[in-house]
Amino acid sequence: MSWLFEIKNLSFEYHLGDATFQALARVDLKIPQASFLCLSGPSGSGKTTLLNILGLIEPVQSGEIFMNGNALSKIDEAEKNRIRRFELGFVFQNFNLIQVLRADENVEYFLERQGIEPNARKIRVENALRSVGLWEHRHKRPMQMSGGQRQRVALARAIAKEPKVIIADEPTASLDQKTGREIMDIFKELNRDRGVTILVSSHDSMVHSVVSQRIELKDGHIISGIQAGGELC
Amino acid sequence: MLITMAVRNLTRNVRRTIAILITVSLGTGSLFIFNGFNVGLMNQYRENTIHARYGHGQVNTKGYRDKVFQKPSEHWISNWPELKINLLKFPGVQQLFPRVTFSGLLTNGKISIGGWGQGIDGPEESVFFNTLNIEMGKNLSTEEDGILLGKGLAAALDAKPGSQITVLGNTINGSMNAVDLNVVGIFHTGSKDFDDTVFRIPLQQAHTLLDTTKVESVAIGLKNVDDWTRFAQRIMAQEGSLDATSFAILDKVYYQNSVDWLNSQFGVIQTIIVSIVVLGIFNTVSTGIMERKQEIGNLRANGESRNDVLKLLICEGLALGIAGAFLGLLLGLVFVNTILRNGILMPPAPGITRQFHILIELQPKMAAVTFVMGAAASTFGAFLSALKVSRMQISEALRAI
Repeated sequence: MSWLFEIKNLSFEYHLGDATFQALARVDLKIPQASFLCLSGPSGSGKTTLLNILGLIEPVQSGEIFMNGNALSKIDEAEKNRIRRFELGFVFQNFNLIQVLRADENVEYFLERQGIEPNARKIRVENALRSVGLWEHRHKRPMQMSGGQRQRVALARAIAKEPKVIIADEPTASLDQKTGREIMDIFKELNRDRGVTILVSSHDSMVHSVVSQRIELKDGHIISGIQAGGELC
Repeated sequence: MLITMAVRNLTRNVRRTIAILITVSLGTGSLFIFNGFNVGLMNQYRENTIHARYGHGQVNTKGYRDKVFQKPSEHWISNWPELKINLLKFPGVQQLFPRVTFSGLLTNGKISIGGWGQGIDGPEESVFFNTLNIEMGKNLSTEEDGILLGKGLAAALDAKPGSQITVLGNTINGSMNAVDLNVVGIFHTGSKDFDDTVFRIPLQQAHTLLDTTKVESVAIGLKNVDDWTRFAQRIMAQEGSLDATSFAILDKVYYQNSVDWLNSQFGVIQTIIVSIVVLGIFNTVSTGIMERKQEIGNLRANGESRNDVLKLLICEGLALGIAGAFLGLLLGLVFVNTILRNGILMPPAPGITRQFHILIELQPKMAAVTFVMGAAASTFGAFLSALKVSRMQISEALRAI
């Protein structure tokens, strides 16, 4: 079986002054292509750290991660930027939209940076915004939108990039249940129809009910959801 | 879209943007006015030097200024009438001022005092050398038997305009000779040594006293100061027996040294102004950038490199710099054409005994240089701020509140 991510003996520490906090401890995990996986667990369990490392936001400190067979620790910064630009999409709890750009411009910005031609960009932007139900709000700036709408824009931005993986850190945490459910349904559709790997962190039971697989972390260890060798149950 | 985003980011916090614009425009405006003042001061000082003593330069026989001779008159210019005709054909030459200097004894019948005489072309010099300070009477002009005395000399001789003075001296052959003259005026230059010893008489009288028709030097009045180089080159080429020396060298101690000294001082002040602009912008832009850490983290998470982020923030600094520098130039123009229209009254400069107005002389090239300096200072300030945040770990930026 070909793994999208193969994590071997991964550990990660944060240093806060003299104190050291072990965020991940000897984690082994294998994530196949087109997974729809949720990382759950209490705050401080290591969910976000693991997602950040998979999203090339944090470095591999100890152990190794292979992405499509390539060791992340061996990839240089330029290649990491390329992967982030073309292969990964991010959805954050606090949306992280560019405040001075309209909804459609927020979506279009990274497409332009991908080097996509203007006409093709316009089509992708429209499709992405329609798929999240925001085409009519495309001229609004983030500050003119509700939290749910902003998260949809963030989602549309990730969708439009046509990434292989979408990494969503607590995507529903700032939303009401109904809106959160709608967001998760869009993720589900993307995973089902386009084969996009969705990696979500959440301790929301609604999210857990939507995803295909779930692993649970505690104190930097995976305590459920995997078999021996790190394969998902 | 990078530029769109950079420009729109300027509207994000209008107060901050205005603060930066004020910093850049005040800095640029100050630099603009300061440079204009500098040019005005230099030009005024140069004109004072030219019109006080030396003209645009001086012609002597070759090597005359470099040596001391037992009989200087043997090395004076002997063919003055022909040389005058030739020199007046040189492009840019408007006036020629033949001169001789000599030592003499001045007496009023009761008191005799040694002095240093200058034989000059009165009518010509009185018009061109218009910055001489005449304390009493008037400048030496068409009076054939007139004498202009330095202030100290006049005091010693108890002379006033209208007083009679006899000048005793040696002819170039060593015989004693004398001319009787009437005081037309008393001058001062601010230099006590000069005012205590120097007197001026018509060239014709000096020639009579010295029994010669030679001239020691010819001061040159050009149409434009920039004509000097061409004039000097042509003298070297056509009049091999002559040397041409510019006023800047003739008055090196007062003029050239003062110019060099002032330029260095201006350089320091300019650096201070630019540094203040850079620091002011660094401070203000840093605050703005720090508030956008999450957004910058998001850009990096989506594939923007450190350099991409730097470019974006530098674009913002540049946009502010361009707008601020433009406003600064406008500000400078408005000030110079209103409050500073009549220039700035300055105390006497070295070698000058009266106050004078410095006109702020703004020039297109200066505007361009100042504009670039203002915009560059703003961009550099933004660059310094951006450097820190672009080096931040993505996760650290995303976690920022």
